[in-house]
Amino acid sequence: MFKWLSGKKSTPKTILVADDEDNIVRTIADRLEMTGYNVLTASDGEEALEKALSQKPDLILLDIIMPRLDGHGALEKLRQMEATRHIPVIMLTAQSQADDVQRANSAGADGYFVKPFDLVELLRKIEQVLAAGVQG
Amino acid sequence: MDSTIKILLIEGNIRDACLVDDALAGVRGVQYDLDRCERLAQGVDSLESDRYDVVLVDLALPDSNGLATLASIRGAAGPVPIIVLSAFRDRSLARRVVQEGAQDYLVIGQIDSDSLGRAIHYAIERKAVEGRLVTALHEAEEADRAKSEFLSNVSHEIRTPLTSMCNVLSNFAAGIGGRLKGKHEQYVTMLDDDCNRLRALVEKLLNLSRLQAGKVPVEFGSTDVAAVAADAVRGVRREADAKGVALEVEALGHLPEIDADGSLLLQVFTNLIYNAIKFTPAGGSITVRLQDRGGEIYAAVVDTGIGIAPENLKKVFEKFAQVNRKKGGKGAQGTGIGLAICKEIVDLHDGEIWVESVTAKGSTFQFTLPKKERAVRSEKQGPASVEKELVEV
Repeated sequence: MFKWLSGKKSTPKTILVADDEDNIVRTIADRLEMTGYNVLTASDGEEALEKALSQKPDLILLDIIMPRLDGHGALEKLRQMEATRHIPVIMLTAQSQADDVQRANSAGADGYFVKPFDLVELLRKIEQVLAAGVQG
Repeated sequence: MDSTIKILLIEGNIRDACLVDDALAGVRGVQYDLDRCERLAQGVDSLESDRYDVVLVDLALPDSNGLATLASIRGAAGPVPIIVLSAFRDRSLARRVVQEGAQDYLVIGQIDSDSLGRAIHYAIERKAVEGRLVTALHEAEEADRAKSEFLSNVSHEIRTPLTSMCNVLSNFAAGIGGRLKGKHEQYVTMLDDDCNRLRALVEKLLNLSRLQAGKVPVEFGSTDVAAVAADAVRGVRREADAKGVALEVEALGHLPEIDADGSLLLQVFTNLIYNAIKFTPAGGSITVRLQDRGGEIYAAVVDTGIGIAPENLKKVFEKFAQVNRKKGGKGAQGTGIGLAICKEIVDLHDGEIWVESVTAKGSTFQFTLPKKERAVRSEKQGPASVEKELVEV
């Protein structure tokens, strides 16, 4: 599949999409690729950790309710490891309880999207978080 | 009561124990089986190992005294009724003892066969009735909780497939897979509308179940109700214009700020005005009326819509009770959740919400918000609110 690369991005950024719902992973991945990102996918928290360690993505989209290791657990581990602690993480979840948002924020998430979200808004947030990372 | 009644008597004083025994012996037509012990510890043991129909307990025992005795016995007795025996005639203690879960308070010196027999009989009956009520209440609460939980689970489950559907539509719109044309584009627009409706429905359902479960943090603060109403009008102006319905706010005099949660009130106004738009045909009008009525703010959303039949007026604020407002009209859909949310929110403000309506003429949804200072405020209010709380208590 060909990509539309916007002028300012010289090397495409890599985004890891972790969600146990295949349809959600695929639809997000398609859109990200079309926008010009490289995409990695994972279907549970453990796989997300492995890929984060081995491939060093520039950003991770992390679902909360996943088998083996859930999003909260994965985020905690990502933040503990030297190699992954700087990678920005945006949480995706079907829950919207206030304490859940708080938990993700205090664990160091860079964003939080409640399903069903607007893909355009998600893309905007991703761009924003990546830009902030470049500046910092 | 025709079978034998099994009694546990916990009484440290042998003479009082004999008085009780004698009184029981004189009750006609009933067989009693009396176990006696002197100390609280033995009494608790007996209650745990044996089954009794009633416990008679003197609060003054060698190893325990007063209400502490009652508390221990209550813990051990479970569904067994308790009658407190006392050497003193003490009305306030008697009341206290009953409040703390005893069925009766008898002064030992005044006991005779008649009164004791009757007291035991009534204690057993009252406790049985109480037990049935408590069970029924628990069952009702449990059912309600299970229902809310189910609702919330289902809503969560709906979100997942809804997410990929929304994503697919968004990807179509972004041009993935090529540009859509003609019917395909029309179909995708239809799907998009319906996805948005489904999404709004799921949000409303979750919102209502959270409100009912008390999980929505309410933040009272100084609130300008007229400004909130104006915000709501601004938010739905486009829908009103699109439908050709006039929409205006009419504030009678200046409204003072009141202690309320502005974002929750915004939901009430928005829901009511949005409903009014839905049920008012083109050319009609909607007026949001606000008035300072001294002790309270009065708000009304008046429409010239199709109205509600009298028999349905009371039902509209119930969950899912969308009464048939359309009656052959065009498909003005709704779930009836919006009004239930309005009621929950107005209740949280200790206000009232009601509706008056004339079929084919229009409806007036109205609510009041008392202008009271609230003792319980959100935590960030600081020590001042604590003082206020103490004063009000």
